[in-house]
Amino acid sequence: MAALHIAGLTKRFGARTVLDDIHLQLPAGTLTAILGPSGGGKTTLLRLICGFERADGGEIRIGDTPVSAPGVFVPTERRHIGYVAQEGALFPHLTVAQNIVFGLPRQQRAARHRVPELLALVGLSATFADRLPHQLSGGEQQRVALARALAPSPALVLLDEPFSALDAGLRADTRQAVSAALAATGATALLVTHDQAEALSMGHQVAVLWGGKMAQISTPQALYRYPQSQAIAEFVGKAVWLDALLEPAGARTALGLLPVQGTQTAGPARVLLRPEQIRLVTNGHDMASVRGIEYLGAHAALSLVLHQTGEALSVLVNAQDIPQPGSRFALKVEGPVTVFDQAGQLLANQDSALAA
Amino acid sequence: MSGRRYPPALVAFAAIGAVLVLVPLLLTLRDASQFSLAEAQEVLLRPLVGKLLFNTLTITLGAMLVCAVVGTLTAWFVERTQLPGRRIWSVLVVVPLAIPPFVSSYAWVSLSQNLQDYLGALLVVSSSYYPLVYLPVAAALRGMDPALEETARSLGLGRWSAFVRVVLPQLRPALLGGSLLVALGVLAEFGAFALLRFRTFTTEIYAEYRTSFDSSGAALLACVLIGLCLLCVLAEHRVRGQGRYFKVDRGTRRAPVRYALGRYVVPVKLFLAALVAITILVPLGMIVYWLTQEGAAAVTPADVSPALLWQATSSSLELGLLAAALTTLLAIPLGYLLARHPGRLPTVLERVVYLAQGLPGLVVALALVTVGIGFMQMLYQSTLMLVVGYAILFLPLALVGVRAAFVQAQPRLEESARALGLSPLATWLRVILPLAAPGIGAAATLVFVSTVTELTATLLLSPIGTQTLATQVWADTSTLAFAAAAPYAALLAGLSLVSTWVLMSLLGRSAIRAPV
Repeated sequence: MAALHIAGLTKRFGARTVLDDIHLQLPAGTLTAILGPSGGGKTTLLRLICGFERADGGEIRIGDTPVSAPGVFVPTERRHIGYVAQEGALFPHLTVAQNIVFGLPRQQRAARHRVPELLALVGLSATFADRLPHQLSGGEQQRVALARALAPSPALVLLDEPFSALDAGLRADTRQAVSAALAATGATALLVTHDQAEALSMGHQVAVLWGGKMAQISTPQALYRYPQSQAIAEFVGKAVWLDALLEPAGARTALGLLPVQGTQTAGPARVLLRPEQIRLVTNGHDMASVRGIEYLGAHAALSLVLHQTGEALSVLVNAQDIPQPGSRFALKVEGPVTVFDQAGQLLANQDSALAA
Repeated sequence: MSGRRYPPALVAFAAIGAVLVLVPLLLTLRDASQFSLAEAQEVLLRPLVGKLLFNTLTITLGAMLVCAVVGTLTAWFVERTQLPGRRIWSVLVVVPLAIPPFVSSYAWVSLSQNLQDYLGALLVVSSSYYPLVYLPVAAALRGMDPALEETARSLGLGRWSAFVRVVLPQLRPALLGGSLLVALGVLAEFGAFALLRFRTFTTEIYAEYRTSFDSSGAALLACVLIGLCLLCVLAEHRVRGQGRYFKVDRGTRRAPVRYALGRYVVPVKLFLAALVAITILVPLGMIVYWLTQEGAAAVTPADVSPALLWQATSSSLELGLLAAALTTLLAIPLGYLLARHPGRLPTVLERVVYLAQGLPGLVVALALVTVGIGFMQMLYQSTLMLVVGYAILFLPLALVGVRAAFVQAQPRLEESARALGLSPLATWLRVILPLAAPGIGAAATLVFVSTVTELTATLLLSPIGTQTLATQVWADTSTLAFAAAAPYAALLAGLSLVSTWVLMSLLGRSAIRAPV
């Protein structure tokens, strides 16, 4: 059973269409990440689901209940959702415990219903209960905000870029704590983010919202390997593009004949490689030389130029394997590559293996 | 922090203002202490004092309540609803601040002599002071993270319970702080209550001084009044501390959601229209009405001489400019010290200056009269003493603005200028002053408006033969010569409105946005 159905959802601000015919389903108990660049309509979509804004068309159903449809608008407070705002939005005049029980009936508020349990759920000790929000770090505030959203046991939890204000180290920890807490409660969750690593690592399903349209909905693996367009491919990770000629046996490129999933019609195409798919080999058949090195700590990104075609490409190597600038290598590609037409659109029939 | 070094010259100049503020406070205490305990009891435990205390407290609490309700309602309508014409309303609801209460009481008294006593007094002071609540509450509503209200809604609260459980607690510091400013204004108010024949401590202190010229009896009453005022200052200080405590800066935010008024749009508009009619139209309308009347139409016929009108206007302007200059000059060293060398000593000086907020004009004036008669005869009823009196009264106002101006002119800019080879003096002239100038100008303007519309200290301290616009309105209204008062009242209101407009533009839109 799906916990959230969205069909044909449209929202305009004045003459500008911010959301255009959005369809989305959230299977119960899963986390879906809405990924997209700023201004793509992610936050608007979330605010429509919350009931902070009214849609101009289409339908939103939470469970079996239509909450937004032509002639139907259920106000926020009767949607039974959990909402975690961008910076937590803890009520500054209330303690952590008072924040957590805020949405519960009066008796349960007085009894501080489930406060220790919820604090433990989000990975905080019970000693936090009597602190005030300004005494917490950003990550702790976000955890409390999640505990508060989960307290009334909502069927659907909505998170609006909850980690964007945190610094890198805190972000990873908080992300894990939030994932674990959501999984433990079995809540269905929708996470809005512009951070591809966050979407890929947290989402069971990733929906890419691009220019107000739903560009792709797939698993994180499928999104990374088979992005619908060149733009999405580059948004979700580093990409290496090569010109290719499709043949029955695969794609003929400057790196040789590379395997392709599914059957393709012959003709010119573009090939997507991820930098980690390419290995440097020293076998005497030099194909490329090192132009630049970007040291990244555990890894280094090498900029290479292909001798045959002059095409530039980027390769990821382990830090201990960094070659000298100007070194020459042969290149070996691991695994199948993904092919696109010359307009940058994904060619069909490739992701059957992952979709299954 | 004991080893901390401050520039000695700067500290010396900064201390002048604080010392000035202490003079009237200590003198009043000294005068009052001339009574023995038994005598003091006899004076203070009179039924009259009980009646005064009752009147003063009920009018203060009444005005606080009315201002809190009206100020919060208007702020919510302007900031949180889709009220048509919000821009215009947001200006109209702060205009009453520029109309001094004794001018609006002139208008109401001349409209009907029945508007006296408690209700008349409540009407006049509330309509003058409710913007003191409106401004901070509107700023708080604007600064509030809309996600708080949205989160409350997502947790199952309706609009009304979200307001009560989330919005209202956030407004508490602004609401309390604004109400305490109202209380301070009402406690110090003299002119309006005297015109409306409503007896409070201020009117009684004035009467006692005028009938007996005995400053010690007045001083004893003044001590009670100062006590009440200082309680408000202390409370306001604590509330403001809380406000800061809760404030977490969070960068840019979405604009808050505005609610559609729906079927309430007409009642809300009627409410605001009535408010504007009471607080602006009646006072200004009555002035215009009396301007068009012959002198003989008023209860007491009196005519206006153009010479006197000119003289009063020029004295008001002159005193306003002198007070603005002196007060700002006194505020600059302390403001700079506070901005650049924060620490215990500057904080003590700052707190002493803020004590002046708890000193009603009447009390300061009486203390200075004592100084004049007792120690410095030649200063008695001199322009200098009057201007010093203004400086004591308005130093807190100036200090807020001047200090903020220096805080904005960040030290790293000063350091960069020095690194580029400028001398300290050149740095002041070319970097600090230009950056701080709008803020200092705003502070000076604020002192100017306050001086021009000040009545009590002016009445008591102005040199013999010097009339200002304020004292003329007072004199003519006291004798019920309403038509004669009108030109002075019109000029006064005009001057005040123009200066307030200058003030707002000096501070940019932030003037309307920042709590006073």
